[in-house]
Amino acid sequence: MTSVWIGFLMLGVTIVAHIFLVSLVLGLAVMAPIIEYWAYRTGDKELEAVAKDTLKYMAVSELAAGVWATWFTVALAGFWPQLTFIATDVLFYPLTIALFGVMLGIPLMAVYWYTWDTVSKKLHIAIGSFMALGAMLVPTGFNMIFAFLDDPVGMAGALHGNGWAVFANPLYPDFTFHRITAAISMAALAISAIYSLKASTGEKRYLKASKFGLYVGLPALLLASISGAAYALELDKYSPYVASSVLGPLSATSLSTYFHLYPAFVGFMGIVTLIWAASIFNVLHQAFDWAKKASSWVLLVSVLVGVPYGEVLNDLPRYPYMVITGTGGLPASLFINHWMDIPQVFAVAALAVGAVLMAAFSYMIYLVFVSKLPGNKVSGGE
Amino acid sequence: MRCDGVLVLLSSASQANLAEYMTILGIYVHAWFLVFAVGLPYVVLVFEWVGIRHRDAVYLTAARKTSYVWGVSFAAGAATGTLVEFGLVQVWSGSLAAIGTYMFSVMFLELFAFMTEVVFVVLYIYTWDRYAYRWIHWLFGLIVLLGSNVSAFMILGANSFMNVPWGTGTLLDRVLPWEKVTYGPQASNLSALLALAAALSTRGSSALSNVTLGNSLGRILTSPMVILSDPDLPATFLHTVDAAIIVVSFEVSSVLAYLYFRGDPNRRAEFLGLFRKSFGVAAVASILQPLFGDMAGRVEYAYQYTKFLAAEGFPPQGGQNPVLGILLKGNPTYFFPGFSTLLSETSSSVIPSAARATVLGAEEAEPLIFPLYYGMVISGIVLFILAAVYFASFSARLAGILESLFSSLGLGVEKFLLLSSFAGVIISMFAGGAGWAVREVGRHPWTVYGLIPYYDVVTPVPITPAFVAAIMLLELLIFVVGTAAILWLVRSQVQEFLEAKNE
Repeated sequence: MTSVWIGFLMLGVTIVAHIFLVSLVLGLAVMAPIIEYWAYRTGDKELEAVAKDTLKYMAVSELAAGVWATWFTVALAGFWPQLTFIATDVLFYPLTIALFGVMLGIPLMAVYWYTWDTVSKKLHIAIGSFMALGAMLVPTGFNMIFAFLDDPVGMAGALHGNGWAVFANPLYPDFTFHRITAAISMAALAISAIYSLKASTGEKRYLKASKFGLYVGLPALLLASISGAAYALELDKYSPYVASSVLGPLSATSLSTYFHLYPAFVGFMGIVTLIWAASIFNVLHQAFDWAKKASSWVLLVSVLVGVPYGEVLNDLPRYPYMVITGTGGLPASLFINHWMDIPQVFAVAALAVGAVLMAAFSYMIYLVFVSKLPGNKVSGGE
Repeated sequence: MRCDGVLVLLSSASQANLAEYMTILGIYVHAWFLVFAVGLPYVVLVFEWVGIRHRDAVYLTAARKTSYVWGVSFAAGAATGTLVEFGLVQVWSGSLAAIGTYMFSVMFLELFAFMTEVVFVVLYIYTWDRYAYRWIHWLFGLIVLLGSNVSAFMILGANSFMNVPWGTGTLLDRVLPWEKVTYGPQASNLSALLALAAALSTRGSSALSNVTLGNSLGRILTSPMVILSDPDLPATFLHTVDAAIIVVSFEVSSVLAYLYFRGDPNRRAEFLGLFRKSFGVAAVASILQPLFGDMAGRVEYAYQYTKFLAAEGFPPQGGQNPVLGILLKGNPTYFFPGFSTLLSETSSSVIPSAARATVLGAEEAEPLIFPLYYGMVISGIVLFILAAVYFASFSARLAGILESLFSSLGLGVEKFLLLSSFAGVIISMFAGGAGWAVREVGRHPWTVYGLIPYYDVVTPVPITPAFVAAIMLLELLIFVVGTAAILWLVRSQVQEFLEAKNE
């Protein structure tokens, strides 16, 4: 393995893990106040408990996302120091917006949790809405990185003092909107599927929560699908190398690329189709029988796989380039750390240990939140 | 061209000065939460250890309740740590040159420790009643403790490199002629390193946007792990982590002392028992701290002489200090050369302006760091005395002497210790904050001592006062909300502890 490939892989793995978790955080952050609002409107205490559970899942996802954010930052700074410098310099304002969102979102998450039942419902929902807003600022800023890597608009302007020039990137609005709506649909439909599976026990609140997840998730999925299609068209226009790799014969340019990801793209479309099919089936099929259970499992697995799968399709086609400039790009080898030899064992160990620890963490979360350990008690707030 | 370079530096300096405020606040806010995350495991594990050993439900309940505070402070520390890390990369973007070389290995290794912590802290908090053989649970906590210490070790490794740039061999001796020591093995390509420093000096951090320049430098570092042998690292690690343990164990002690005075009189024996354990942790740490402080001081004297002069408050012409003379040279009349002498040596530097900046920076910082340093030392002495009283109270003979001593003040030894825990919190927090300020301000103007000044690594993007104010407000918001959450949690856990039928 070359150092470039290791660096690319390292960055890719951390991005995929991080994006999966932050999408979950974003979706749950939006869902919690929406569910609470609906519970308040209808005076439904059971639904309010679901809102509180949603926030709990969000807090744990945030912790894991933070860990991967650190991995991601270190991978960027260590393997690609000059690229990181250029990104922080050129994309200073978008990154600041994202950091602002993190700095706003984390304390508001704590405030939202600790003020539950201690302030008026309207004020509490307002706090939750601001938390969701903070969470949405994060992708609003960070997605500029991906738009920039696919089409480096505004670089010259930013290097000459006009940092806002990067916002003229034509890929940015659609891509960001797609990411946000996909994250919301992922979280909402995952919640729906989980509660649908639990609803087989006959508890009414699970049924309500499952339906509510569908009510939010399906419109978000529709928006994500439309914006995704629009993004694919724009990619073909502004970043033909990436489009050729992913869309294959569907691309107008059909360039020769390092990776031919069209079959993977077809697989992705298959996953999206499964999400649609399972969601619609769950809306139409009221009975809690084996078919509903199977459909809920399909929905859960496909929404959880969809986001990381999509992220692989978003990042892998750039190789061997790091920044795409139309039909070609700036090779990754230009940006790899030339100042020191990073031992290969570092990267291999990182990927292996990262995978093991992440699996352990996921299992832990399953034990804590799903299987309900005896004596399980969340600190504070209860 | 020269004029352009000067303008770049001037604007970088004013940028950097503004950026420093938010960085200082950010680091202190992060440290505030981190201190809990690093120090609390020691107290919690001692409580749990006693609880398991003696099958004592009070200790087990106390450990459990305290562990919830630990969990929340850990999350706050992790969140603010990510922000600080990314903020540093963004605002001090030129430091990527150091992160991508010397600091890489420690930052990378820290990830493993951090991940281990995350997994086991969740496991520890959610499995209190899971195992009949309770030592398994205790072991989970021990793994978190080890993880947090390894994590601290690695992160402090990056800071140690900034203070004592290990692996640069004889380079610093040539830049700062009075430092007549070698900074570790020659693990650096000196010409590449000097070329990088020169590029940063001429163009500021923008130099890094030139990919061709970056690549043309070639290998700067030949031994990625050299940072781990930095002599500043063990000293700083022990000194810093011990300080965190002292602060937190005094904080826990003060809560227990409060319960002793204001809580249910029938449960005073319970509170006192717990208090003596947490105070014991503080006492052990306070007794050890002078040793660790001495280690850190010796490294400072050997490798950062200007900071040593400023912290010890030597006059410009230098002077004698019998205590330091004996400790460092075995000679009470040893004359420590002052800033004036060092200034006269700057002309022999390969970069005289850098050498002058080092001396003048330390001299300028002296009025601030000298009182802070001695404030820290005096605080350490007071804490040492409190620890000595604690240990003396175990000896019947010494306790008798102390009783008669304190009775003149209307206090018994026990009451003195209980009251002193409140003072211990304030004193130890001051000592920790002051110590870190001395460490960082004393290095001014260097980000990496003798090699890269702070104004060369600040982002070229304009940092406006409004921007700084907005970020600082957010940092304060995180501080206030996080602190309020921890206080709320402490209160609710104490309440539950008081109401609990112990396990």
